[in-house]
Amino acid sequence: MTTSSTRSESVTEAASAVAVAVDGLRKEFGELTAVDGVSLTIRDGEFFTLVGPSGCGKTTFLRMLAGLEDATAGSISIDGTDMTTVPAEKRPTSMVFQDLALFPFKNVFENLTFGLKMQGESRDVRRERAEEMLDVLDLQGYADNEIEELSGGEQQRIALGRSLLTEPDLLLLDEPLSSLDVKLRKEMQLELRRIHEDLESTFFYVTHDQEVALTASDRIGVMNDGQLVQVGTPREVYEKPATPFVAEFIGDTNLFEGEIDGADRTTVETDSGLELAAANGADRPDSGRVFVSVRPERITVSESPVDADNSFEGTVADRIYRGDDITYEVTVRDVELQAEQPVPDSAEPLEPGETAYVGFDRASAYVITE
Amino acid sequence: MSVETEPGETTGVAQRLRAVPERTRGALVALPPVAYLAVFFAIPLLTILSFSVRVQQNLQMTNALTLDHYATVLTSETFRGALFYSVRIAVITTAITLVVGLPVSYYLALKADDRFRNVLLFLVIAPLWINFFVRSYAMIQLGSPQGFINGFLTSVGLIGEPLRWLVYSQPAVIFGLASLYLPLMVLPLYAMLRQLDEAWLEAAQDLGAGPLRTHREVTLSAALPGMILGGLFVFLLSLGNQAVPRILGGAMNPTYSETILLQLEGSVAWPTAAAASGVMMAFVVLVLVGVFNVFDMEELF
Repeated sequence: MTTSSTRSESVTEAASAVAVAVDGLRKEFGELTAVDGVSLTIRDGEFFTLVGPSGCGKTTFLRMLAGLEDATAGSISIDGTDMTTVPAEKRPTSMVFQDLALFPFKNVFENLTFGLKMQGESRDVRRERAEEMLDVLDLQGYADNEIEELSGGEQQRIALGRSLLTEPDLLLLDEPLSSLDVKLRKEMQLELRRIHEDLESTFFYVTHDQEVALTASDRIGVMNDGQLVQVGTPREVYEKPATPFVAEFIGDTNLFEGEIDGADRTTVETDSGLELAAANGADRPDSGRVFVSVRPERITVSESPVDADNSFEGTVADRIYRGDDITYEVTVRDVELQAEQPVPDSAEPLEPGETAYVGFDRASAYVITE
Repeated sequence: MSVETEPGETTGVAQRLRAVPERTRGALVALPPVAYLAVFFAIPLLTILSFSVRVQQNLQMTNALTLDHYATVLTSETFRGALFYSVRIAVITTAITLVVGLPVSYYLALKADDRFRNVLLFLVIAPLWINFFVRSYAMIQLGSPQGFINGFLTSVGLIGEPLRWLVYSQPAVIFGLASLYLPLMVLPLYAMLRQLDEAWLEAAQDLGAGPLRTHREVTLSAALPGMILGGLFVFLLSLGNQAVPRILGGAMNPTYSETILLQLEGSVAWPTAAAASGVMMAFVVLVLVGVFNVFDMEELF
């Protein structure tokens, strides 16, 4: 809750404002279980992102919210009304499809106002609303263009506008930015955030791209193998991963497996033979198997010994220059550690083969009990 | 391939061709088809049209010009009645193939199992290969008063008397034409519906369209170019078909094509037949111009 804006906190206070409540949702396709009992609450006005690798069931989950897929078990309620068996056309949701699904045989105006036409709005009203939306999307004067005349980014915005014009209680986005190039994707990401703040509607975004998830969302849900593994603010999920999977999927990490010392509960003997001081962690057990996650940017690399709770001597195995920083791979005994360092102003970075000292504080070593 | 067999000559021809300017080369390529069309299409057409405006004397065409033949055709009750009858049959046939063709092609394009799709397509096209006369006589057998359909309906007690309009009737002609030309409707519809993305159907539904509305807004829109193309095929071919009405229509009103033929067989009235053909051509051109005016072909395809 620490990072997240004041907006998110105020939403939390208004506890009654629950937009979507999902309980024990399941979806089976024959033998395959795509969604395996997911329960989740999305607050009114929230930008919620469900993130996970391909095939984890996130798109199926989204399609069940839209009503395009029947649930095998469980329930979905939107704005307090049970929607589990309500067909898609009668749900207060609208979806932006991964490949947009714009109608190629209709022009921009007809695409944008399709939902309004279904609601029985007159042509004059539709024309007016379309012009307003084109203003919001920064596409003034495009109403009579054909879809194929638009660029990828413009089509993207039309697809978004088409869904927004129906004023859905819940806007569902199925990786709609995945087909764009990096620069355009970043622009659209900010654009989405801006539109979300302008409209104060609830956004439910599904992606495998953890960057979108971290930068745009109020809260993130991480999904794996059909199950919701962790829900939290981007910072909670990044800094306090609930499982080794979350630690590795959201951002890069150095993950150690080992035995926690029962006496002080802060020392972990890793299987690779390192002794780690690890103070951080949600509920550290008295003993037993644990994982320790250390983010690469928390590890200092130096040519002289590092003054830290954990300090080791190793050899630089590889060095990757990435413009804004350098990623070192340092071998400590038999363990490969990844460390990100800012590019030094004057001194030359360490060369592969050189001796390097690495160090990190116990606060940076997060204990995960599976 | 030919380079290997006759290397010297081919390079020679290729070299000489390269020396020819681009425009001339294009014209050379177009020459054979243009010559073919000129000999087998344009010349007979112009001959007919010239017959339609020349005076006939003692069964010989003279060079004197007249519009009398057109006047004869346009004022003739027989020709007008025949044209009306032919157009009606063609319109009903087109409507039937459209109503039958849409669900068939929708199923083929979107619902059929990939493994069977080719087999099903083959079955759709198959009627085009079975000899038309064989099929027509089979239909007559089926529909005759002693035939299978009447026999079945009588035996289950649905009818007391055999239905006489099953053969040698207008419904029989329409049914014959519709079954003959159905593939020409299904194939263009299929081609268009294969391009339909099922996400469009889902998007329409998501935006509030019920099942029927979704099909009207998405499926029909996607199929529209195919409907126009298939509709033109079926309408124009039904309009000109003379064999089906002759076999399945019996002694019913003659169609327009039949009326033209009668001019030639009975009275050797070449100019009248030619003028009647001219009227038909003008009618077809009008239909095409009308359709192309309503629908922008450039945009549709």
